[in-house]
Amino acid sequence: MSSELTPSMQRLVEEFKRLPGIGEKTALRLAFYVLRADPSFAAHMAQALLGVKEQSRLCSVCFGLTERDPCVICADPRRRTEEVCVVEEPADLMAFERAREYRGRYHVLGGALAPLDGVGPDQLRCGELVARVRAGGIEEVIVATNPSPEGEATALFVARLLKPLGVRVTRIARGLPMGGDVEYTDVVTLSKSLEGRREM
Amino acid sequence: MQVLSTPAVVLRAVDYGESDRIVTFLTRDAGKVSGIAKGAKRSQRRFSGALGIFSLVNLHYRTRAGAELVFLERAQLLVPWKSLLDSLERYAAASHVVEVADKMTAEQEVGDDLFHVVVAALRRIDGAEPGPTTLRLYELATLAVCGYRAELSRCVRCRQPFAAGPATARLAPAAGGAACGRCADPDEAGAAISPAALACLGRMQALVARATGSARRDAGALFDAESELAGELPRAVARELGATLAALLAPRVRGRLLSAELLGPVVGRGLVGA
Ligand SMILES: [Zn+2]
Ligand SMILES: [Zn+2]
Repeated sequence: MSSELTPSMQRLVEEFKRLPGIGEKTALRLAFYVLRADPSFAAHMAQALLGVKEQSRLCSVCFGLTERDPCVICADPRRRTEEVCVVEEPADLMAFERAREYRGRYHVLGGALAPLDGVGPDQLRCGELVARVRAGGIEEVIVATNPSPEGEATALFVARLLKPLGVRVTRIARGLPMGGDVEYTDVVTLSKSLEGRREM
Repeated sequence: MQVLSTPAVVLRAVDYGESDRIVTFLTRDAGKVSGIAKGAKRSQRRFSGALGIFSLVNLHYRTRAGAELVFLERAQLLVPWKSLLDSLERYAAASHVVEVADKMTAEQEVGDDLFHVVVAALRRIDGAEPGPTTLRLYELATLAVCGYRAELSRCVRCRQPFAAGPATARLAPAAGGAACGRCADPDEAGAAISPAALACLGRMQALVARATGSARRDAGALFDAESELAGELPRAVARELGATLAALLAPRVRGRLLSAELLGPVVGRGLVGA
């Protein structure tokens, strides 16, 4: 289909296709959008792409996304150092921050155990987490990986690594989502929500 | 296009785009099938927690002319696993089960035997912690139902029974079994198998034949006698069995077996194989 494109358009289509979830058709549509748009659009887009690579990095303490190292959370003296919340991705950290509930610090693993996709213990930032706990001052590690098979396995692995160090390891609760529907909720979630019920 | 329905196990699943998921199933009625679940993350009603790895579901799908991926209409959990994620050992074992099934088969072309063996293995791991022979029985059964029954009771080449006494048998993975001292190809350089391991493999093959043989297909019976097998199994033999099956599987699977490679060091090589 794209054999009659100009070489520069062909190149742009190829780059768009490397993005997750983008196929040939969508890549072509995006490339034509860029072609027709105001020249400043392409310039801003290019600057934004380069900027993110130049300025955004991972915090050397928690591995959250930041432009300063350490990040604002790790540098904030009002955040509790005794609690560390372990999440899979920087986006999960941001989700917790939006909830404005948690006042401790974080540790971003950079994924979840998924051996079939080639992600084993060595591909996650577990050694760094162990080092933080060993360094002292942490009393509780809250494991907030996803309630998926991969996230549960990761939680088991983190607990196995940390328990011998004498730190308290907790797992976030599982239950029905707000706006959910009991009738259509899967049986595993239903039974977990019963397990985690509380007095009213 | 007509909607097809079949029991199925999720072998692999990846998120695709904003809210879709691409899932590979081992189905009872149509072999291995990959499909796209549109809006999987939003639709509790259509896919209610049924698209995670290991899920045993009733799958409803439509084939699409010329398309590689089928269209997944909906899926309901048939049996929710209760304890598959209770330990890393169970997770590693279950991962190995679905990975071997996936990598031994091409799309579609596989009978319902493998489906029953996979379900029996997951049910076994859900029921209790896996033992040193759990995955070995599964691997032998999988080889058998995929047409690669391993010849371990006599020489794969000259068909003579192995001589008693010190280790004379050597592994011949490409030939699909073990060879005697006279027939073992020096270039093959397969590992020697100890008489103890060979005896255990022979007993396991008998269990596999009973559970998957054409006369009586009852994959669930595969693990019934497991406690007798494992009860007398020294650690070194367990490791040897793991390495033996890994070598026998290697020529039959696509690529490396990553569950064993990545989780083996965590849960023990004797469990998931070398
Ligand atoms: Zn930080
Ligand atoms: Zn021979």
